[in-house]
Amino acid sequence: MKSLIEELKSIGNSRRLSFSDDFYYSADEKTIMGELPFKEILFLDYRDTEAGSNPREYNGLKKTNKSILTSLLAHTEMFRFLHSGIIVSLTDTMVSNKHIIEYGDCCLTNGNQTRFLVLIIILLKIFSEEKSLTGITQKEFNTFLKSNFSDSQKILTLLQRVTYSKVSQALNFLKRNNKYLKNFNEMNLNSFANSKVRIQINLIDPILSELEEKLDEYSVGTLIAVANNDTQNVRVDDIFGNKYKTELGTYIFKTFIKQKKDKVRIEYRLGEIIDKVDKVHILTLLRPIIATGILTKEKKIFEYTNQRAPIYKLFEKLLRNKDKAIKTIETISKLSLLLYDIRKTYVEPLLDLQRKNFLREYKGKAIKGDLEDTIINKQISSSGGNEEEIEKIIRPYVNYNVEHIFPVLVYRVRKIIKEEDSSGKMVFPLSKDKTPEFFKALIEVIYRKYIETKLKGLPTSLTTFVRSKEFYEIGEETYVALKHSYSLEESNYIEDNRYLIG
Amino acid sequence: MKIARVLEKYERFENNIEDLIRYAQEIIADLPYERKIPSKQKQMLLESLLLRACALWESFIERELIVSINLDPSQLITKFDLPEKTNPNIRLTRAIVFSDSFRDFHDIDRSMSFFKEVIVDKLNPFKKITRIQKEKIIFAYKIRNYLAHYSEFSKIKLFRAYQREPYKYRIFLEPGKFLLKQKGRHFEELVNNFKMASIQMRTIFK
Repeated sequence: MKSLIEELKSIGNSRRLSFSDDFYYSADEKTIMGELPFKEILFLDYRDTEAGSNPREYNGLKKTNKSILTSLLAHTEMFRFLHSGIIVSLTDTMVSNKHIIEYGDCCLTNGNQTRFLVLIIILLKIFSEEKSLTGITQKEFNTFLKSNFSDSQKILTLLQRVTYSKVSQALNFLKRNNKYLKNFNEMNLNSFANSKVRIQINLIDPILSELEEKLDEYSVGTLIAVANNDTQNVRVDDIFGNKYKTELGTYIFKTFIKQKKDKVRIEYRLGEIIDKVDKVHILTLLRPIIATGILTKEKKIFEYTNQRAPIYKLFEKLLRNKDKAIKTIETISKLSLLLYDIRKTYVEPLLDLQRKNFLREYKGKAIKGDLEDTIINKQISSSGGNEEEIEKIIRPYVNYNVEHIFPVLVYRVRKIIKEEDSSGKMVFPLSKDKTPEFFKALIEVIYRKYIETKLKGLPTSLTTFVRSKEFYEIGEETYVALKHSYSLEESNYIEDNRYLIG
Repeated sequence: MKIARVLEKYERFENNIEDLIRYAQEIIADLPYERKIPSKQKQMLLESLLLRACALWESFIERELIVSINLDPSQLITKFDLPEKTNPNIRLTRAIVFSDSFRDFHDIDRSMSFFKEVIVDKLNPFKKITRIQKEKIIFAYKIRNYLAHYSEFSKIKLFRAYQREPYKYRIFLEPGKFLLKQKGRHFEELVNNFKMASIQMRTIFK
């Protein structure tokens, strides 16, 4: 077993692919096709390398991955005929003979799910050779990885993606399916590691040399990776985040990154940050910007609530016009930090507390008979005053989606956001001891209306309601009252820095 | 006393309880703009707030007992063998009720059987308290008694209650620790129960 582990590590640490047979090498030297043993693909890089970045992380035992897993277990010999194969982009390649390619950087652009499944099977098999898989714990599994692979940082980095939860998904699947468990138990590890998968290789440097458009290796590799994944079920978030990572970091999130440094890391692709650090997804930072109206007409603000694709499109256009919109981009960069801080410091905790308050309040109302004109009246009557039942009925109406409420709050307060004269920092111009009360009052009124609208019965869907002008008008009176009582002044700051796209 | 005024008192009590819960929850939540408070201090605070909630409850039911009797004193007159024509006001009712012996309202079962003797059935709000609410009140008072005395007897009583459904604890927990569990869920449940009992009680006037 030790010798196999050593062999796997040696392959993983090398920058070389060794084919089972002669491969096809196109005359223009841009393409290579052939077949590789599984052991060759286990630790191929796939993200943020010079050869590009694959937008998809391993997403666990979803439907397609389950089929790949069963196919790997039941038809290992046939696998290369059943599977369309993997695609890889390589830079700085050197082809010495028709069996071996040496390279500088690698990006596994297609087949990442398959690779992780093969890797999980091999790891479980190695583990099972020494210890029983029954009752395997997270600690045991992590110790196993560390004790066998800790001498290679490159391999360990990739193994961090094989979290215990993902491994136990596969294990539970085997436990529930005797047929595949038998396949797994009877499998010969060496012959599995030498089973073949078809591979296409895009050689980035020759491809690049003949392109008219000026692109670098990373852009070409990522372009290929995104296109390879386009027909698959890849999240729009991951495609956008992957493609614009550099520009987002340089322009849109510049202030955020500078201020937060490593305290809060931005996640450009969902699930990419697995370290135990505070993280924020790009969409969480981009969405509230829309509510300020700095990029769109008023009616579009409402329409874009809780949306994904149109928001990415908007920012895509903004980045394309960055030369003309540099002032707006700078403002957005500051805004995203301020709005994030407001969300984390005030909105999320206050909403959480308010939800508990409302749950108690509406439970009391239900018992008092104050919810007779709501759509849950019948359910409440038939609960016979049972508090637990009543809570179950009420809970979905009191629950909230922060992405529904936060944009309305931002829309409400956007005119009092301003730039501090001295530092150029964007601020919410209220002292720290008064700010919680300010947001508390506004949140309560917006949230209450949100619940009451749901309880009255929505004429359309909740999504349509939260994208309506009517919803965005909630809290106007409270805002005016608060503005006067705290002597706050509105400014044209957002308007002056606007760049209309949508 | 008019029903509207009676209901106002209920509301005041419910608001007082709600204030206690909100205050506790803000402290428990470790709000980012507030100073973080160590768990030990939070536990002490929750214990004090539970004692306060019990005190509010006792003063509330004492008042409601008198008010309910006063709405129709016929049962009181029978119980205390008073002249039939007696028409006591609130102060007199209180004097009669508390004249014969010391009364506290720590034991909800004992209290309720007394209430049944002195309040006419159709105006007895206490009979509206549900079985589950009563059980929670009994449990809250086990904590209250332990906190008030720290006696071995009260500790054993509380431990036995911990061991039963729904908690099923095997070891004894100091009340503060118990109340703080799950971001103060036990505290909220027990204290809000006083409010829910009040809401249930006032349905007698519907």
